[in-house]
Amino acid sequence: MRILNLILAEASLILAINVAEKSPLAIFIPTKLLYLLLILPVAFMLLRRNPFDIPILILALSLVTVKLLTNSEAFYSLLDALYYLGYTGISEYLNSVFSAYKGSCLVQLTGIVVMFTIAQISWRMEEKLKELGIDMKYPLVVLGAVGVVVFLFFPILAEFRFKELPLIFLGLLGLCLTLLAIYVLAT
Amino acid sequence: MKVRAVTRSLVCASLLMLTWGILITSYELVAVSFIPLLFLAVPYRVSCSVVEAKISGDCYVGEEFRVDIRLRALGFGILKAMHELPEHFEVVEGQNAVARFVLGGEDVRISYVARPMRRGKYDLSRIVLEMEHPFLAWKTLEELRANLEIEVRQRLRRITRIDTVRGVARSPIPDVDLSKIGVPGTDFREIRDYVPGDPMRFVNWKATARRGKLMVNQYEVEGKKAVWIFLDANDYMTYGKSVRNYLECGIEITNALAYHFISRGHKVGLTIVGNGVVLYPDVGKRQFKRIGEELMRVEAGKEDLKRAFENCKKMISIYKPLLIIITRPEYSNPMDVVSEGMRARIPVQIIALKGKVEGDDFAVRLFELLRRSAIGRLRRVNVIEWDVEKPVRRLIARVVG
Repeated sequence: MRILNLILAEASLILAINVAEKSPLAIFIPTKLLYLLLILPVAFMLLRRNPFDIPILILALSLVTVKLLTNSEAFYSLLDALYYLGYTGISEYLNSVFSAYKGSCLVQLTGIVVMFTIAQISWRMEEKLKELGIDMKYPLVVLGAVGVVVFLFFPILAEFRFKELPLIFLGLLGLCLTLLAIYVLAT
Repeated sequence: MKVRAVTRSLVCASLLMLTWGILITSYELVAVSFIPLLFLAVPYRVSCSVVEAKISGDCYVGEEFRVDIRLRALGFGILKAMHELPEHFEVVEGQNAVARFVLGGEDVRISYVARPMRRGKYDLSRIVLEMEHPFLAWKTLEELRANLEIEVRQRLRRITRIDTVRGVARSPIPDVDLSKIGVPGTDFREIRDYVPGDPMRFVNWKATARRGKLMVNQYEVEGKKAVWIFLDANDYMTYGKSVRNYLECGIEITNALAYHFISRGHKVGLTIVGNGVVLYPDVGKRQFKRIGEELMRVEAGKEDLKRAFENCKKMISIYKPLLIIITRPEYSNPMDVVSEGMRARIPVQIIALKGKVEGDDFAVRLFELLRRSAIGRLRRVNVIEWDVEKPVRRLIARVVG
Protein backbone atom coordinates (compact mmCIF):
# COMPACT_ATOMS: atom_id res chain seq x y z
CA MET A 1 0.00 0.00 0.00
CA ARG A 2 2.98 2.29 0.59
CA ILE A 3 4.00 1.91 -3.06
CA LEU A 4 0.47 2.68 -4.31
CA ASN A 5 0.27 5.75 -2.10
CA LEU A 6 3.75 6.84 -3.20
CA ILE A 7 2.72 6.59 -6.86
CA LEU A 8 -0.48 8.54 -6.17
CA ALA A 9 1.44 11.23 -4.24
CA GLU A 10 4.04 11.61 -6.99
CA ALA A 11 1.32 11.78 -9.68
CA SER A 12 -0.53 14.47 -7.69
CA LEU A 13 2.60 16.54 -7.23
CA ILE A 14 3.43 16.27 -10.95
CA LEU A 15 -0.11 17.45 -11.76
CA ALA A 16 0.24 20.35 -9.29
CA ILE A 17 3.67 21.32 -10.72
CA ASN A 18 2.23 21.22 -14.26
CA VAL A 19 -0.49 23.63 -13.14
CA ALA A 20 2.14 25.81 -11.41
CA GLU A 21 4.22 25.88 -14.64
CA LYS A 22 1.24 27.39 -16.46
CA SER A 23 0.59 29.92 -13.69
CA PRO A 24 2.14 33.30 -12.79
CA LEU A 25 4.46 31.39 -10.44
CA ALA A 26 6.61 30.49 -13.48
CA ILE A 27 7.51 34.18 -13.81
CA PHE A 28 8.81 34.49 -10.26
CA ILE A 29 10.66 31.17 -9.68
CA PRO A 30 12.30 28.60 -11.99
CA THR A 31 9.64 25.85 -12.13
CA LYS A 32 12.22 23.11 -12.75
CA LEU A 33 13.21 23.53 -9.12
CA LEU A 34 9.69 22.53 -8.08
CA TYR A 35 10.42 18.96 -9.22
CA LEU A 36 12.66 18.68 -6.16
CA LEU A 37 9.44 18.52 -4.15
CA LEU A 38 8.92 15.00 -5.52
CA ILE A 39 11.43 13.81 -2.92
CA LEU A 40 8.97 14.61 -0.11
CA PRO A 41 6.64 11.59 -0.52
CA VAL A 42 9.71 9.31 -0.63
CA ALA A 43 10.95 10.91 2.58
CA PHE A 44 7.52 10.37 4.17
CA MET A 45 7.65 6.74 3.17
CA LEU A 46 11.15 6.32 4.62
CA LEU A 47 9.87 7.84 7.84
CA ARG A 48 7.16 5.13 7.84
CA ARG A 49 4.40 7.70 7.35
CA ASN A 50 1.67 7.70 4.76
CA PRO A 51 3.45 9.01 1.59
CA PHE A 52 0.29 10.94 0.67
CA ASP A 53 -0.65 12.56 3.94
CA ILE A 54 -2.33 15.94 4.60
CA PRO A 55 0.99 17.93 4.36
CA ILE A 56 1.50 16.69 0.77
CA LEU A 57 -2.07 17.69 -0.08
CA ILE A 58 -1.45 21.17 1.40
CA LEU A 59 1.72 21.43 -0.69
CA ALA A 60 -0.10 20.41 -3.88
CA LEU A 61 -2.95 22.83 -3.15
CA SER A 62 -0.42 25.63 -2.51
CA LEU A 63 1.08 25.08 -5.96
CA VAL A 64 -2.36 25.11 -7.57
CA THR A 65 -3.49 28.14 -5.58
CA VAL A 66 -1.33 30.52 -7.66
CA LYS A 67 -3.34 29.45 -10.69
CA LEU A 68 -6.62 29.67 -8.74
CA LEU A 69 -5.78 33.28 -7.79
CA THR A 70 -6.08 34.30 -11.45
CA ASN A 71 -9.86 33.78 -11.15
CA SER A 72 -10.16 34.94 -7.52
CA GLU A 73 -12.36 37.93 -6.77
CA ALA A 74 -10.70 38.27 -3.37
CA PHE A 75 -7.26 38.55 -4.99
CA TYR A 76 -8.35 41.25 -7.44
CA SER A 77 -10.06 43.18 -4.65
CA LEU A 78 -6.75 43.03 -2.78
CA LEU A 79 -5.01 44.52 -5.84
CA ASP A 80 -7.70 47.24 -5.92
CA ALA A 81 -6.97 47.97 -2.26
CA LEU A 82 -3.23 48.28 -3.02
CA TYR A 83 -4.05 50.61 -5.90
CA TYR A 84 -6.25 52.74 -3.64
CA LEU A 85 -3.53 52.90 -0.98
CA GLY A 86 -1.10 54.33 -3.48
CA TYR A 87 0.83 51.24 -4.60
CA THR A 88 -0.33 51.70 -8.15
CA GLY A 89 2.81 50.31 -9.80
CA ILE A 90 2.81 46.94 -8.08
CA SER A 91 -0.97 46.69 -8.30
CA GLU A 92 -1.02 47.28 -12.06
CA TYR A 93 1.95 44.92 -12.61
CA LEU A 94 0.34 42.05 -10.67
CA ASN A 95 -2.97 42.65 -12.38
CA SER A 96 -1.37 42.42 -15.81
CA VAL A 97 0.56 39.26 -14.89
CA PHE A 98 -2.35 37.34 -13.30
CA SER A 99 -4.93 38.42 -15.87
CA ALA A 100 -2.77 36.94 -18.62
CA TYR A 101 -2.94 33.44 -17.01
CA LYS A 102 -6.71 33.29 -16.43
CA GLY A 103 -8.19 29.83 -16.93
CA SER A 104 -9.67 26.81 -15.15
CA CYS A 105 -7.71 23.95 -13.54
CA LEU A 106 -10.72 22.02 -12.22
CA VAL A 107 -9.73 18.74 -13.90
CA GLN A 108 -6.23 18.74 -12.39
CA LEU A 109 -7.62 19.75 -8.98
CA THR A 110 -10.19 16.97 -9.15
CA GLY A 111 -7.42 14.50 -10.02
CA ILE A 112 -5.32 15.61 -7.04
CA VAL A 113 -8.22 15.38 -4.57
CA VAL A 114 -9.46 12.02 -5.90
CA MET A 115 -5.95 10.55 -5.60
CA PHE A 116 -5.59 11.97 -2.09
CA THR A 117 -8.91 10.43 -1.05
CA ILE A 118 -8.00 7.03 -2.52
CA ALA A 119 -4.62 7.16 -0.76
CA GLN A 120 -6.17 8.03 2.60
CA ILE A 121 -8.84 5.33 2.41
CA SER A 122 -6.49 2.59 1.20
CA TRP A 123 -3.94 3.48 3.90
CA ARG A 124 -6.51 3.17 6.70
CA MET A 125 -8.17 0.12 5.14
CA GLU A 126 -5.05 -1.99 4.84
CA GLU A 127 -4.50 -2.56 8.54
CA LYS A 128 -8.18 -3.00 9.34
CA LEU A 129 -8.82 -5.50 6.56
CA LYS A 130 -5.72 -7.47 7.48
CA GLU A 131 -7.05 -7.66 11.02
CA LEU A 132 -10.39 -8.94 9.72
CA GLY A 133 -8.74 -11.42 7.40
CA ILE A 134 -10.27 -9.91 4.26
CA ASP A 135 -8.37 -9.81 0.98
CA MET A 136 -7.55 -6.22 -0.10
CA LYS A 137 -8.10 -6.97 -3.78
CA TYR A 138 -11.87 -6.41 -4.10
CA PRO A 139 -12.14 -3.35 -1.85
CA LEU A 140 -9.27 -1.74 -3.79
CA VAL A 141 -10.92 -2.46 -7.13
CA VAL A 142 -14.18 -0.91 -5.86
CA LEU A 143 -12.27 2.10 -4.48
CA GLY A 144 -10.47 2.57 -7.79
CA ALA A 145 -13.74 2.29 -9.72
CA VAL A 146 -15.43 4.92 -7.54
CA GLY A 147 -12.36 7.15 -7.96
CA VAL A 148 -12.50 6.84 -11.78
CA VAL A 149 -16.25 7.61 -11.84
CA VAL A 150 -15.77 10.70 -9.65
CA PHE A 151 -12.79 11.87 -11.73
CA LEU A 152 -14.74 11.47 -15.00
CA PHE A 153 -18.06 12.96 -13.96
CA PHE A 154 -17.27 15.47 -11.22
CA PRO A 155 -15.77 18.15 -13.53
CA ILE A 156 -18.80 17.86 -15.82
CA LEU A 157 -21.13 18.27 -12.85
CA ALA A 158 -19.09 21.12 -11.35
CA GLU A 159 -19.01 23.08 -14.60
CA PHE A 160 -22.74 22.69 -15.15
CA ARG A 161 -24.25 26.14 -15.55
CA PHE A 162 -26.75 26.27 -12.70
CA LYS A 163 -27.11 30.01 -13.26
CA GLU A 164 -28.86 29.40 -16.56
CA LEU A 165 -31.57 27.21 -15.02
CA PRO A 166 -35.01 28.71 -14.17
CA LEU A 167 -35.22 29.92 -10.55
CA ILE A 168 -38.27 27.77 -9.77
CA PHE A 169 -36.31 24.65 -10.70
CA LEU A 170 -33.38 25.67 -8.49
CA GLY A 171 -35.81 26.33 -5.61
CA LEU A 172 -37.34 22.87 -5.96
CA LEU A 173 -33.88 21.30 -6.16
CA GLY A 174 -32.86 23.09 -2.95
CA LEU A 175 -36.03 21.94 -1.19
CA CYS A 176 -35.48 18.31 -2.25
CA LEU A 177 -31.87 18.40 -1.06
CA THR A 178 -32.94 19.85 2.31
CA LEU A 179 -35.53 17.10 2.77
CA LEU A 180 -32.96 14.47 1.75
CA ALA A 181 -30.48 15.88 4.28
CA ILE A 182 -33.14 15.77 7.04
CA TYR A 183 -33.94 12.15 6.15
CA VAL A 184 -30.25 11.14 6.15
CA LEU A 185 -29.62 12.85 9.48
CA ALA A 186 -32.73 11.31 11.04
CA THR A 187 -31.79 7.79 10.00
CA MET B 1 -20.35 8.41 18.61
CA LYS B 2 -16.86 7.27 17.77
CA VAL B 3 -15.67 8.69 14.44
CA ARG B 4 -13.50 6.39 12.36
CA ALA B 5 -9.95 7.53 11.52
CA VAL B 6 -10.65 7.47 7.78
CA THR B 7 -13.83 9.54 8.20
CA ARG B 8 -12.01 12.05 10.39
CA SER B 9 -9.12 12.50 7.97
CA LEU B 10 -11.42 12.91 4.93
CA VAL B 11 -13.72 15.36 6.71
CA CYS B 12 -10.66 17.35 7.87
CA ALA B 13 -9.29 17.49 4.32
CA SER B 14 -12.70 18.54 3.02
CA LEU B 15 -13.03 21.33 5.59
CA LEU B 16 -9.49 22.51 4.84
CA MET B 17 -10.23 22.82 1.12
CA LEU B 18 -13.59 24.45 1.76
CA THR B 19 -12.06 27.11 4.06
CA TRP B 20 -9.18 27.68 1.67
CA GLY B 21 -11.60 28.01 -1.25
CA ILE B 22 -13.81 30.50 0.59
CA LEU B 23 -10.80 32.58 1.65
CA ILE B 24 -9.50 32.94 -1.89
CA THR B 25 -13.04 32.92 -3.37
CA SER B 26 -12.22 30.00 -5.62
CA TYR B 27 -15.27 28.19 -6.99
CA GLU B 28 -13.08 25.25 -8.12
CA LEU B 29 -11.57 24.67 -4.70
CA VAL B 30 -14.97 24.89 -2.99
CA ALA B 31 -16.35 22.40 -5.52
CA VAL B 32 -13.55 19.82 -5.08
CA SER B 33 -13.85 20.05 -1.30
CA PHE B 34 -16.97 17.86 -1.66
CA ILE B 35 -15.08 15.00 -3.35
CA PRO B 36 -13.91 13.28 -0.11
CA LEU B 37 -17.49 13.46 1.16
CA LEU B 38 -18.71 11.75 -2.03
CA PHE B 39 -16.54 8.75 -1.16
CA LEU B 40 -18.02 8.67 2.34
CA ALA B 41 -21.52 8.87 0.90
CA VAL B 42 -21.17 5.73 -1.24
CA PRO B 43 -24.26 3.73 -0.26
CA TYR B 44 -23.91 0.29 1.25
CA ARG B 45 -26.33 -2.36 2.34
CA VAL B 46 -25.94 -6.04 3.18
CA SER B 47 -28.93 -8.22 3.95
CA CYS B 48 -28.33 -11.55 5.60
CA SER B 49 -30.37 -14.67 6.24
CA VAL B 50 -29.68 -17.97 7.99
CA VAL B 51 -29.61 -20.90 5.58
CA GLU B 52 -28.62 -23.59 8.05
CA ALA B 53 -27.63 -23.75 11.72
CA LYS B 54 -26.80 -26.87 13.65
CA ILE B 55 -24.97 -28.09 16.73
CA SER B 56 -23.36 -31.51 16.70
CA GLY B 57 -21.80 -33.45 19.55
CA ASP B 58 -22.80 -34.13 23.14
CA CYS B 59 -23.24 -31.17 25.40
CA TYR B 60 -21.55 -31.92 28.68
CA VAL B 61 -19.49 -29.65 30.87
CA GLY B 62 -15.88 -29.59 29.67
CA GLU B 63 -16.64 -31.54 26.49
CA GLU B 64 -16.47 -30.15 22.98
CA PHE B 65 -19.30 -29.61 20.53
CA ARG B 66 -19.34 -28.25 16.98
CA VAL B 67 -21.39 -25.36 15.65
CA ASP B 68 -22.04 -24.91 11.93
CA ILE B 69 -23.92 -21.89 10.66
CA ARG B 70 -24.41 -21.03 7.02
CA LEU B 71 -25.53 -17.52 6.10
CA ARG B 72 -26.50 -16.00 2.77
CA ALA B 73 -25.41 -12.39 2.37
CA LEU B 74 -26.64 -10.12 -0.40
CA GLY B 75 -25.64 -6.54 -1.10
CA PHE B 76 -22.56 -4.36 -1.05
CA GLY B 77 -20.24 -3.72 1.87
CA ILE B 78 -18.16 -5.46 4.49
CA LEU B 79 -20.02 -7.97 6.61
CA LYS B 80 -18.82 -9.10 10.03
CA ALA B 81 -20.88 -11.89 11.54
CA MET B 82 -20.35 -13.14 15.06
CA HIS B 83 -22.17 -16.00 16.71
CA GLU B 84 -22.52 -14.83 20.28
CA LEU B 85 -21.53 -17.31 22.98
CA PRO B 86 -22.29 -17.06 26.71
CA GLU B 87 -19.37 -16.18 28.95
CA HIS B 88 -18.94 -19.75 30.19
CA PHE B 89 -18.07 -21.07 26.73
CA GLU B 90 -14.64 -21.15 25.19
CA VAL B 91 -13.82 -21.56 21.52
CA VAL B 92 -11.40 -24.44 21.04
CA GLU B 93 -11.06 -24.65 17.28
CA GLY B 94 -11.99 -22.24 14.50
CA GLN B 95 -13.62 -18.87 15.10
CA ASN B 96 -17.12 -17.82 16.01
CA ALA B 97 -16.73 -14.63 13.96
CA VAL B 98 -16.09 -14.13 10.26
CA ALA B 99 -15.69 -11.11 8.00
CA ARG B 100 -16.35 -10.93 4.26
CA PHE B 101 -16.34 -8.28 1.58
CA VAL B 102 -19.76 -8.71 -0.02
CA LEU B 103 -20.31 -7.67 -3.60
CA GLY B 104 -23.52 -9.17 -4.90
CA GLY B 105 -24.12 -12.53 -3.21
CA GLU B 106 -21.86 -14.41 -0.84
CA ASP B 107 -22.11 -17.58 1.26
CA VAL B 108 -20.76 -17.02 4.75
CA ARG B 109 -19.96 -19.99 6.94
CA ILE B 110 -19.29 -19.86 10.68
CA SER B 111 -17.83 -23.14 11.86
CA TYR B 112 -16.09 -23.73 15.16
CA VAL B 113 -15.66 -26.09 18.07
CA ALA B 114 -16.50 -24.80 21.54
CA ARG B 115 -16.43 -26.11 25.07
CA PRO B 116 -19.00 -25.21 27.74
CA MET B 117 -17.52 -24.76 31.20
CA ARG B 118 -20.73 -24.55 33.17
CA ARG B 119 -24.02 -26.43 33.22
CA GLY B 120 -27.24 -24.78 32.18
CA LYS B 121 -29.68 -24.20 29.39
CA TYR B 122 -28.34 -21.67 26.92
CA ASP B 123 -29.91 -19.81 24.07
CA LEU B 124 -27.35 -19.65 21.27
CA SER B 125 -29.63 -18.12 18.68
CA ARG B 126 -28.06 -14.64 18.55
CA ILE B 127 -25.85 -13.78 15.58
CA VAL B 128 -24.53 -10.22 15.67
CA LEU B 129 -24.04 -8.66 12.25
CA GLU B 130 -21.88 -5.63 11.72
CA MET B 131 -22.30 -4.09 8.29
CA GLU B 132 -19.44 -1.80 7.39
CA HIS B 133 -19.14 0.81 4.71
CA PRO B 134 -16.91 -0.60 1.89
CA PHE B 135 -14.31 2.06 2.74
CA LEU B 136 -14.74 1.50 6.51
CA ALA B 137 -16.26 4.92 7.05
CA TRP B 138 -19.42 3.88 8.91
CA LYS B 139 -21.00 0.80 10.32
CA THR B 140 -24.42 -0.42 11.34
CA LEU B 141 -25.35 -3.20 13.72
CA GLU B 142 -28.04 -5.78 13.21
CA GLU B 143 -29.05 -9.03 14.76
CA LEU B 144 -30.05 -12.36 13.29
CA ARG B 145 -31.72 -15.27 15.02
CA ALA B 146 -30.82 -18.87 14.32
CA ASN B 147 -32.76 -21.64 15.94
CA LEU B 148 -30.05 -22.88 18.30
CA GLU B 149 -30.39 -23.96 21.90
CA ILE B 150 -28.14 -26.08 24.03
CA GLU B 151 -28.55 -27.87 27.32
CA VAL B 152 -25.23 -28.41 29.04
CA ARG B 153 -25.22 -31.14 31.66
CA GLN B 154 -22.70 -32.49 34.07
CA ARG B 155 -21.17 -35.72 32.82
CA LEU B 156 -22.18 -38.49 35.22
CA ARG B 157 -19.24 -39.94 37.11
CA ARG B 158 -20.19 -43.60 37.03
CA ILE B 159 -18.62 -45.94 39.50
CA THR B 160 -17.13 -48.78 37.53
CA ARG B 161 -15.97 -50.98 40.43
CA ILE B 162 -16.22 -50.92 44.21
CA ASP B 163 -14.13 -53.41 46.18
CA THR B 164 -16.06 -55.33 48.83
CA VAL B 165 -13.78 -55.36 51.85
CA ARG B 166 -14.97 -56.74 55.18
CA GLY B 167 -14.83 -54.29 58.06
CA VAL B 168 -16.66 -51.47 59.72
CA ALA B 169 -18.89 -49.71 57.21
CA ARG B 170 -17.82 -46.17 56.51
CA SER B 171 -21.12 -45.30 54.98
CA PRO B 172 -24.27 -45.21 57.12
CA ILE B 173 -26.28 -46.51 54.16
CA PRO B 174 -25.69 -50.14 53.31
CA ASP B 175 -27.02 -51.05 49.90
CA VAL B 176 -29.44 -53.53 51.48
CA ASP B 177 -31.03 -51.05 53.89
CA LEU B 178 -34.78 -51.07 53.45
CA SER B 179 -37.30 -48.29 53.15
CA LYS B 180 -39.48 -47.17 56.04
CA ILE B 181 -42.50 -46.48 53.89
CA GLY B 182 -43.80 -48.00 50.70
CA VAL B 183 -45.82 -50.95 49.44
CA PRO B 184 -45.80 -53.83 51.96
CA GLY B 185 -44.10 -56.98 50.68
CA THR B 186 -44.37 -60.59 51.85
CA ASP B 187 -41.48 -60.65 54.36
CA PHE B 188 -42.84 -60.67 57.92
CA ARG B 189 -41.30 -58.12 60.29
CA GLU B 190 -43.40 -57.98 63.52
CA ILE B 191 -46.87 -57.94 65.12
CA ARG B 192 -48.05 -54.54 66.33
CA ASP B 193 -51.19 -52.76 67.57
CA TYR B 194 -53.85 -51.94 65.03
CA VAL B 195 -54.02 -48.32 63.92
CA PRO B 196 -56.91 -46.88 61.94
CA GLY B 197 -56.23 -47.30 58.23
CA ASP B 198 -54.50 -50.68 58.47
CA PRO B 199 -55.99 -53.14 55.95
CA MET B 200 -58.23 -55.78 57.53
CA ARG B 201 -56.35 -58.56 55.69
CA PHE B 202 -53.28 -57.81 57.86
CA VAL B 203 -55.18 -58.44 61.14
CA ASN B 204 -53.61 -61.31 63.04
CA TRP B 205 -56.72 -62.92 64.60
CA LYS B 206 -54.84 -65.35 66.83
CA ALA B 207 -52.76 -62.60 68.42
CA THR B 208 -55.90 -60.43 68.71
CA ALA B 209 -57.68 -63.19 70.59
CA ARG B 210 -54.71 -63.68 72.91
CA ARG B 211 -54.19 -59.98 73.69
CA GLY B 212 -57.84 -58.91 73.65
CA LYS B 213 -57.18 -56.03 71.25
CA LEU B 214 -56.72 -55.76 67.53
CA MET B 215 -53.22 -56.74 66.40
CA VAL B 216 -51.89 -56.64 62.87
CA ASN B 217 -48.96 -58.21 61.02
CA GLN B 218 -46.29 -55.78 59.88
CA TYR B 219 -44.46 -56.69 56.67
CA GLU B 220 -41.26 -55.29 55.27
CA VAL B 221 -42.08 -52.68 52.66
CA GLU B 222 -40.70 -53.02 49.17
CA GLY B 223 -37.96 -50.74 48.02
CA LYS B 224 -34.75 -49.50 49.47
CA LYS B 225 -33.99 -46.78 51.91
CA ALA B 226 -34.51 -43.18 50.83
CA VAL B 227 -31.63 -40.75 50.39
CA TRP B 228 -32.18 -37.03 50.84
CA ILE B 229 -29.48 -34.73 49.52
CA PHE B 230 -29.14 -31.21 50.87
CA LEU B 231 -27.11 -29.13 48.45
CA ASP B 232 -25.98 -25.84 49.92
CA ALA B 233 -26.29 -23.11 47.27
CA ASN B 234 -25.69 -20.09 49.45
CA ASP B 235 -23.55 -17.17 48.29
CA TYR B 236 -20.41 -18.42 50.04
CA MET B 237 -20.47 -21.55 47.86
CA THR B 238 -19.61 -19.51 44.76
CA TYR B 239 -16.12 -18.66 46.01
CA GLY B 240 -13.52 -19.52 43.39
CA LYS B 241 -13.57 -19.50 39.61
CA SER B 242 -16.94 -19.12 37.90
CA VAL B 243 -16.46 -22.43 36.10
CA ARG B 244 -15.10 -24.41 39.04
CA ASN B 245 -16.14 -23.41 42.53
CA TYR B 246 -17.72 -25.00 45.59
CA LEU B 247 -21.20 -24.77 44.11
CA GLU B 248 -20.24 -26.32 40.76
CA CYS B 249 -18.42 -29.11 42.58
CA GLY B 250 -21.46 -29.62 44.83
CA ILE B 251 -23.76 -29.84 41.81
CA GLU B 252 -21.49 -32.40 40.21
CA ILE B 253 -21.47 -34.49 43.39
CA THR B 254 -25.24 -34.24 43.78
CA ASN B 255 -25.79 -35.30 40.19
CA ALA B 256 -23.48 -38.28 40.51
CA LEU B 257 -24.95 -39.38 43.85
CA ALA B 258 -28.51 -39.03 42.57
CA TYR B 259 -27.68 -41.18 39.58
CA HIS B 260 -25.92 -43.78 41.73
CA PHE B 261 -28.74 -44.17 44.24
CA ILE B 262 -31.60 -43.98 41.74
CA SER B 263 -29.99 -46.56 39.48
CA ARG B 264 -29.84 -48.88 42.52
CA GLY B 265 -33.52 -48.50 43.30
CA HIS B 266 -33.31 -45.98 46.15
CA LYS B 267 -35.73 -43.12 46.55
CA VAL B 268 -33.83 -39.88 46.23
CA GLY B 269 -34.97 -36.47 47.43
CA LEU B 270 -33.27 -33.12 46.97
CA THR B 271 -33.27 -29.81 48.76
CA ILE B 272 -31.35 -26.92 47.28
CA VAL B 273 -30.59 -24.64 50.21
CA GLY B 274 -30.55 -21.08 48.98
CA ASN B 275 -33.02 -21.59 46.14
CA GLY B 276 -35.90 -22.98 48.23
CA VAL B 277 -36.18 -25.99 45.94
CA VAL B 278 -37.49 -29.23 47.49
CA LEU B 279 -38.01 -32.49 45.61
CA TYR B 280 -39.54 -35.23 47.77
CA PRO B 281 -37.98 -38.69 47.56
CA ASP B 282 -39.04 -40.77 44.62
CA VAL B 283 -37.61 -43.50 42.45
CA GLY B 284 -36.96 -43.91 38.76
CA LYS B 285 -35.65 -42.09 35.76
CA ARG B 286 -38.26 -39.35 35.95
CA GLN B 287 -37.04 -38.39 39.40
CA PHE B 288 -33.47 -38.29 38.14
CA LYS B 289 -34.59 -36.09 35.25
CA ARG B 290 -36.37 -33.77 37.68
CA ILE B 291 -33.23 -33.55 39.82
CA GLY B 292 -31.10 -32.88 36.74
CA GLU B 293 -33.40 -30.06 35.63
CA GLU B 294 -33.31 -28.45 39.06
CA LEU B 295 -29.52 -28.72 39.16
CA MET B 296 -29.31 -26.97 35.80
CA ARG B 297 -31.14 -23.98 37.22
CA VAL B 298 -29.18 -23.62 40.44
CA GLU B 299 -27.99 -20.11 41.20
CA ALA B 300 -26.45 -18.86 44.42
CA GLY B 301 -28.96 -17.53 46.96
CA LYS B 302 -29.45 -16.97 50.66
CA GLU B 303 -31.16 -19.43 52.99
CA ASP B 304 -30.39 -20.88 56.38
CA LEU B 305 -29.58 -24.61 56.35
CA LYS B 306 -31.59 -25.14 59.53
CA ARG B 307 -34.63 -23.40 58.06
CA ALA B 308 -34.38 -25.54 54.91
CA PHE B 309 -34.24 -28.64 57.13
CA GLU B 310 -37.27 -27.46 59.13
CA ASN B 311 -39.24 -27.10 55.89
CA CYS B 312 -38.70 -30.77 55.06
CA LYS B 313 -38.73 -32.11 58.61
CA LYS B 314 -42.17 -33.69 58.36
CA MET B 315 -41.31 -35.68 55.27
CA ILE B 316 -37.89 -36.59 56.67
CA SER B 317 -39.52 -38.05 59.78
CA ILE B 318 -41.77 -40.19 57.55
CA TYR B 319 -39.08 -41.46 55.19
CA LYS B 320 -36.23 -41.69 57.72
CA PRO B 321 -33.77 -41.24 54.85
CA LEU B 322 -30.02 -40.98 54.80
CA LEU B 323 -29.28 -37.29 54.85
CA ILE B 324 -26.35 -36.20 52.73
CA ILE B 325 -25.45 -32.56 53.29
CA ILE B 326 -23.05 -31.01 50.79
CA THR B 327 -21.83 -27.77 52.25
CA ARG B 328 -19.02 -25.68 53.71
CA PRO B 329 -19.51 -26.36 57.45
CA GLU B 330 -17.45 -23.33 58.49
CA TYR B 331 -20.19 -21.12 57.03
CA SER B 332 -23.39 -23.17 57.19
CA ASN B 333 -22.90 -24.56 60.73
CA PRO B 334 -24.86 -27.81 60.23
CA MET B 335 -24.60 -28.82 63.94
CA ASP B 336 -28.28 -28.08 64.66
CA VAL B 337 -29.40 -30.19 61.70
CA VAL B 338 -27.08 -33.02 62.75
CA SER B 339 -28.42 -32.95 66.34
CA GLU B 340 -32.03 -33.04 65.18
CA GLY B 341 -31.24 -35.83 62.75
CA MET B 342 -29.52 -37.89 65.43
CA ARG B 343 -32.38 -37.32 67.85
CA ALA B 344 -34.75 -38.71 65.22
CA ARG B 345 -32.30 -41.58 64.54
CA ILE B 346 -31.68 -40.43 61.01
CA PRO B 347 -28.24 -41.18 59.60
CA VAL B 348 -26.42 -38.06 58.48
CA GLN B 349 -23.43 -37.77 56.20
CA ILE B 350 -21.70 -34.48 55.56
CA ILE B 351 -19.56 -33.77 52.54
CA ALA B 352 -17.45 -30.81 53.63
CA LEU B 353 -16.04 -29.05 50.60
CA LYS B 354 -12.71 -27.36 50.86
CA GLY B 355 -10.61 -25.45 48.40
CA LYS B 356 -7.58 -23.28 48.04
CA VAL B 357 -7.90 -20.04 49.98
CA GLU B 358 -6.08 -16.99 48.67
CA GLY B 359 -4.64 -14.42 51.05
CA ASP B 360 -1.72 -13.80 53.36
CA ASP B 361 -0.34 -16.66 55.43
CA PHE B 362 -1.84 -15.59 58.72
CA ALA B 363 -5.34 -15.20 57.30
CA VAL B 364 -5.14 -18.55 55.53
CA ARG B 365 -4.00 -20.30 58.72
CA LEU B 366 -6.71 -18.63 60.77
CA PHE B 367 -9.34 -19.65 58.25
CA GLU B 368 -8.02 -23.22 58.26
CA LEU B 369 -8.24 -23.30 62.08
CA LEU B 370 -11.84 -22.11 61.99
CA ARG B 371 -12.67 -24.70 59.37
CA ARG B 372 -11.02 -27.48 61.38
CA SER B 373 -12.92 -26.38 64.47
CA ALA B 374 -16.24 -26.45 62.58
CA ILE B 375 -15.51 -29.94 61.30
CA GLY B 376 -14.33 -31.05 64.74
CA ARG B 377 -17.74 -30.19 66.18
CA LEU B 378 -19.28 -32.62 63.70
CA ARG B 379 -17.26 -35.63 64.90
CA ARG B 380 -20.44 -37.52 65.86
CA VAL B 381 -21.43 -37.89 62.22
CA ASN B 382 -19.69 -39.17 59.16
CA VAL B 383 -17.82 -36.25 57.58
CA ILE B 384 -15.97 -36.52 54.31
CA GLU B 385 -13.71 -33.59 53.51
CA TRP B 386 -13.33 -33.03 49.82
CA ASP B 387 -11.12 -30.72 47.79
CA VAL B 388 -13.16 -29.11 45.01
CA GLU B 389 -10.26 -29.42 42.58
CA LYS B 390 -10.14 -33.21 42.88
CA PRO B 391 -12.16 -35.42 40.51
CA VAL B 392 -15.56 -36.30 41.93
CA ARG B 393 -15.36 -39.96 40.86
CA ARG B 394 -13.18 -40.86 43.83
CA LEU B 395 -15.45 -39.09 46.27
CA ILE B 396 -18.48 -41.12 45.14
CA ALA B 397 -16.60 -44.31 45.84
CA ARG B 398 -15.94 -43.05 49.38
CA VAL B 399 -19.53 -42.01 49.99
CA VAL B 400 -21.08 -45.27 48.87
CA GLY B 401 -18.16 -47.60 49.55
